Amino acid sequence: MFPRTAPRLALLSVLMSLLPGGLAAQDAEVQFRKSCMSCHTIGAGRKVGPDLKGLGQRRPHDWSARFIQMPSSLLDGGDPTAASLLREFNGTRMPDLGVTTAEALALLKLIDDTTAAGRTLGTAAISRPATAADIRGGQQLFLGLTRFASGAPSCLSCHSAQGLRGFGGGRLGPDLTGASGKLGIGLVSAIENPAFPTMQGVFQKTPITAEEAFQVGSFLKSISSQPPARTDMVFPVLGIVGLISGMLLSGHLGRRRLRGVRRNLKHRG
Amino acid sequence: MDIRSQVAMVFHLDKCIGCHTCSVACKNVWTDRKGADYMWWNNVETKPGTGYPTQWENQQEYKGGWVVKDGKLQLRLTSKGKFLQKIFHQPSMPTMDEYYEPWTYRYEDLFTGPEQDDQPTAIPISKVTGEYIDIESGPNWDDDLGGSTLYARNDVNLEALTEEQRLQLLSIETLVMFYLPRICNHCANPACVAACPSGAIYKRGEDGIVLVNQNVCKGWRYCVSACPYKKVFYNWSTGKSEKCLLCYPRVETGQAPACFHSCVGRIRYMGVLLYDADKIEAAGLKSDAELVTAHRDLLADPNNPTVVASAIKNGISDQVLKAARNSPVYQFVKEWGLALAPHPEYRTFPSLFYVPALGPVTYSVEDGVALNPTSVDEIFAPLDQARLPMAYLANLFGAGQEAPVRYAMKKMMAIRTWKRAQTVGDVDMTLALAGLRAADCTPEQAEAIYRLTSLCTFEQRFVIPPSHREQAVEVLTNPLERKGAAGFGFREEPQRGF
Repeated sequence: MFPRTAPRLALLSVLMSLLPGGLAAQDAEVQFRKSCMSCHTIGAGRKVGPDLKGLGQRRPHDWSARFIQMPSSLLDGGDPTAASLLREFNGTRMPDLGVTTAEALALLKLIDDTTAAGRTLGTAAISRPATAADIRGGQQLFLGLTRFASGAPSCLSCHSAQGLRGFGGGRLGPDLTGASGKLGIGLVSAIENPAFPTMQGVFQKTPITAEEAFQVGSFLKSISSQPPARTDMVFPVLGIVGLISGMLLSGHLGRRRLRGVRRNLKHRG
Repeated sequence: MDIRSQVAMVFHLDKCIGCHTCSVACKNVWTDRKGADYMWWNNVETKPGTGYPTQWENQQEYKGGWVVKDGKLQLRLTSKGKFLQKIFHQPSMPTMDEYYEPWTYRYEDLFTGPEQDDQPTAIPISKVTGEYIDIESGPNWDDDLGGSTLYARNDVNLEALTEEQRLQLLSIETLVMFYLPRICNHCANPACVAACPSGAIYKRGEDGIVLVNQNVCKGWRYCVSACPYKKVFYNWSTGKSEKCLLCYPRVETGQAPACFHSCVGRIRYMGVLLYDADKIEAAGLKSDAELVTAHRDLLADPNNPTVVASAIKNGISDQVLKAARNSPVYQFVKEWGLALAPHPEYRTFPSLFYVPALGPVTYSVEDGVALNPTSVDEIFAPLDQARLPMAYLANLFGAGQEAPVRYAMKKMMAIRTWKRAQTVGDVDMTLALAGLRAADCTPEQAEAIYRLTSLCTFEQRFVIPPSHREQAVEVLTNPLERKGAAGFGFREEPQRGF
């Protein structure tokens, strides 16, 4: 009935059977980059959370798997190791990310493999204090006056923030004035490796360097004490004024148009 | 010299009885369709009157035709630079109010009306909306001066007249009217073709008929505005423009167009004119005073060997040249100077010419006895005392110049008087002959004009050359392609599926 479909299906199933091993390893790395890398590195040093290099030697795998899947149960359940980690990282709690057991095991395998191979994943946080030059540089990057090295779109395209002139920034993403307060010390790494699906789509192919993320983070931190930008009336007012003046203009340009011939005769007659 | 052939027309207004048979014939053949029901490719107007669409001659409003600007011939409507600016909204088009809202009657009410004291009536309903309408105008609403205070008074051609002359045209004892049947003029310099942004309108090479290609037309409607005679119409159902096609399927088979064929008064003549396309631009740049002469100069003599040589070089066949030599149009327009193009000042050089209508015959009656006229002037009122002021006809046919109109009228009056001297005998023959001479006419010419006007046969009125369509078709398709095959096949394949 489908003379050409059957052999194709057979070929596809053979190819599929070859895939799973490689696919699982790749999946784990993709998930690591997506969900973990904004706070953790493997072998590049501490960030928001601990460096995960050699995790397999430090902790038993079943404990790590439980922690990855549901950090809150261990943190709130009085687990001594979890409590000491919380203290060590200034009370920054790891959020529950909804990771399945299979995914957690794949991630742990990735950590072990990466450690064994001596590779690193991620970059360490920059820990120097922000200077005035950093803040200015961050503002330039935010406004798009300086381009990101990778050619990524500037923050202004989607976000607004306090103190921008003109029409303000984009309205696709939230106003970032209070972002520093919301994300705390995770701000810089959230910029570098965003965990937000919309931003991932944009920045996957054009990643931002750690230095650039630090500058933008410094800028956002410097404005965090100011109240968020007011929704200004410039745009709607300008729209209404533009519409009315456009209509008046087109009415004026067409003032000598044909307004009926017979009707006018009737009025005169 | 670039000689082209044109199927041209003469309408002899002195013979028109205003019966609208032409309009009905055209309507039945071509425009009895949805979206076309308001169109009258052929219409008959009463003049003075505002015509159809209302005041079509008012180019201050409609902006049709050509004007001379900076020594160049330009469309009054727009320029190459400006046309894009108005392409989505054309401000100078006549609206449905200027044409008229097409209507019909709800005839089923006559059968389904409830039982009542009065007869049921069929109420008028709009053919556009289907709702009841209060009919306010129609394509010949001012027929025979109907509603003349509204219409006749507002005829654009009355501009040059004094207030007294205008009042005279409105008072019942002295009013005057004649009929003006109008179709597309198939101009030599058509403004509609020049204005079309899509290149959908074209003037056929072989006979000069102006046509709209329905597959190319995008409905921009520049043609509707640009045509000063308002003879291109927009079909609101198909979204394309349509116009008179001079019944080309009939002309190609040697028949006269439907409106010509059905004409009761036999006022219509059709024949070939040869014209020199190289002279058109120069002629269009002439002043109003020279336009009638310039237009006649465009028309080439089919007996002139140079003209014939150029015509043959342009692929005009011997049979077309033969038709051109027998053309009644050439005689009326060029040899006799009787026929005049409508509104030459629009500079489109129409291929339709009108022989103006004469005023009423007048002679005095004393004690119940008609007195014999003793001079040419007595049969007809002298032109200066004509009921219809010459200035009016000059505006209609002479670009404001009275001379060509006077020439034609004088000649026609002289021939009528001369013929009366011959047949009735109550006019002095010497006076009649003197009148002929004064009107630049010989007795031989007078006889020829009389014959072609009054005793013309079908073949003399319509000298239509064979168009050799079967040969032309062979260039594009093989006429034997479907020979021996069953059925007729499809000209355009039907679309099937999704």
